[in-house]
Amino acid sequence: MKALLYKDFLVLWKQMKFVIFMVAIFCLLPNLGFGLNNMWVVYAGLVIPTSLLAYDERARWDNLAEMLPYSPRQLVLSRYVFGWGATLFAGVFYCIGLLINGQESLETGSFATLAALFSVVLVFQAVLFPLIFRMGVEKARVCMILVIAGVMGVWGASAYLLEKQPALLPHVPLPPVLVVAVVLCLASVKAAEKQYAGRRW
Amino acid sequence: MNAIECRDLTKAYKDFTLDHITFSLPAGCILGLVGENGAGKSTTLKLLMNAIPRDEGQISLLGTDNQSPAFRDTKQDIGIVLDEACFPEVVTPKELGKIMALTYRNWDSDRYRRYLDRFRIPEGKKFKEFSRGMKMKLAIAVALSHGARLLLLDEATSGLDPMVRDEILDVFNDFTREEDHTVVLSSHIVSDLEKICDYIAFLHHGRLVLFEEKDRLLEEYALVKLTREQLAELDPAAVAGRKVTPYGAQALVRRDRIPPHFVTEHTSLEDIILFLAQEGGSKQ
Amino acid sequence: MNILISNANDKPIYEQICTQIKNAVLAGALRPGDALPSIRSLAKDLRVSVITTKRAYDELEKDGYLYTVPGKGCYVAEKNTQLVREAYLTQIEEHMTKILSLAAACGLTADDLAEMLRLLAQNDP
Repeated sequence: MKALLYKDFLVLWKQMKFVIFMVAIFCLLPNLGFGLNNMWVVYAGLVIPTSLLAYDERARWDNLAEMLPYSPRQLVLSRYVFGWGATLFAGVFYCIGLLINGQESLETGSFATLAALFSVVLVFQAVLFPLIFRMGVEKARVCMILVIAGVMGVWGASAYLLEKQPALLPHVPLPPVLVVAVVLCLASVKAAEKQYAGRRW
Repeated sequence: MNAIECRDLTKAYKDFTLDHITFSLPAGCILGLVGENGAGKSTTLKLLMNAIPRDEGQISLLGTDNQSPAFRDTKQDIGIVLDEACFPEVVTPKELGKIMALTYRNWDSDRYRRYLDRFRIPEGKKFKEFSRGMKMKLAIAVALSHGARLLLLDEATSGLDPMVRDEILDVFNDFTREEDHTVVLSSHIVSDLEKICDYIAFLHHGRLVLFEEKDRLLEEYALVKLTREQLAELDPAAVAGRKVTPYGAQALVRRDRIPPHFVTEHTSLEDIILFLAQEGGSKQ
Repeated sequence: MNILISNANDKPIYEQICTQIKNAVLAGALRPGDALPSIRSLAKDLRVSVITTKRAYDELEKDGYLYTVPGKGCYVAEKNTQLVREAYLTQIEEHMTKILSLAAACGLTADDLAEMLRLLAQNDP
């Protein structure tokens, strides 16, 4: 597993140095009220691991990895761990940003928002990774975009029907939500292992 | 001991079936796996490593069933070289060495460096900037640096210039100086295999047409040039393949089954394979 | 000791190895008790199959040219080379008698034959 994480880190550093700096800087910037720095946490947690998988897929690394002495669990879990690492990385800068700029309301940025963002990232990871292991990065990405579009569509439709914008992050107690998200993500690791065994790419 | 035992290996795809492949390869030998593109060579190698699920059959490598939990440990002793090497594009040979040191418990970084030197591979260049020959040599350096006893190579020599090919074949030849070192080498370039293999396996349309000791093959078969009338008179069991032109015929024959007055010619492995492939194809 | 393997030769490779080792023994290039290269290293150096080399050694052992010390290797056997040499000499004599009768049939003298032999020997050292 160390080997896989080290390899991921190397690829990330060499291919996406710029992205890492972007995430760090945008998370540090004072919130401008558009939820932009919120977006960067989600971006780090979803786009960075997906891009890494895409790089590996292009190099056909998986063809080799499945013959090397890695277990399927290591191959799958290392992706999650890297995704969590990336999220945490963004989260740390987000916190530093909050400390520098002061807490604001839930809508624009706070520790509570960060917890909510973590939940969102974990839930999306839980859905996205098994898809990737099933059908490869390209198709999984399309699926993910469809899912996000669907969610946004429902949100937009309900806003229209209720004639009032429902909060993007509803005011529910956050700790239980975070716990549920973590459990969901762990369950997703198991599911991803299954998908990996029956992969079609 | 047999390095590889493969019994009734079967895998069906929509448009292609690998059909009941059975063979066993003694340790210490080099096996050449021949066959046209799409004959099932890569699929066979993947199945040997249990990288893809099979429909039927039993396989053990270095004495371990490849579906048993112990096989992950056995993988430590198997060196893999795939036709495109498949390393991450931005990684340098030096960094690759570190990744492999974390992967293999018997990783020998000195030996790895010696191979890099021997193959004149720059340590700090990114993998994607290497030529195909360099990529293959790097993959071979990795496969030889973790104390493997079995090497599986998928088209490791194709697309390389003759000098590099010869250099690589020399390395495999040296590798098998050890009593228990075994190599499986797939290629569609028969002449490469003729040079160094002890055994030849010939896959054709997903079937194992031939699995034989190489020199025995060369002894057993001979080429004769004869008239069409003579060809018709020959014992059909003696003729393994034929090519008929308006001016005469050529036949691949079993030396011991033809009348002594025929002038036989020494045949090459390539001829044998081509004749057998034609015969196998026409039967279908 | 030289061993030259020819792929164009119609003789099987194991036979080529056999003959050349036998000749080296008879010519005295290999003496009784000399260690022979191991099967594997000879095979690798000649770039021929291990199985073929093993077959050649088995053949040589059967004919009494070498013996195996388990775990150590193969050695040239104490063979009565004198006897083998005489057998060869007898064969040469037989061939020469035939040559002489052929030569007589077309009127060649013993000197002509000697000259022919010298020329042949020069071309094929």
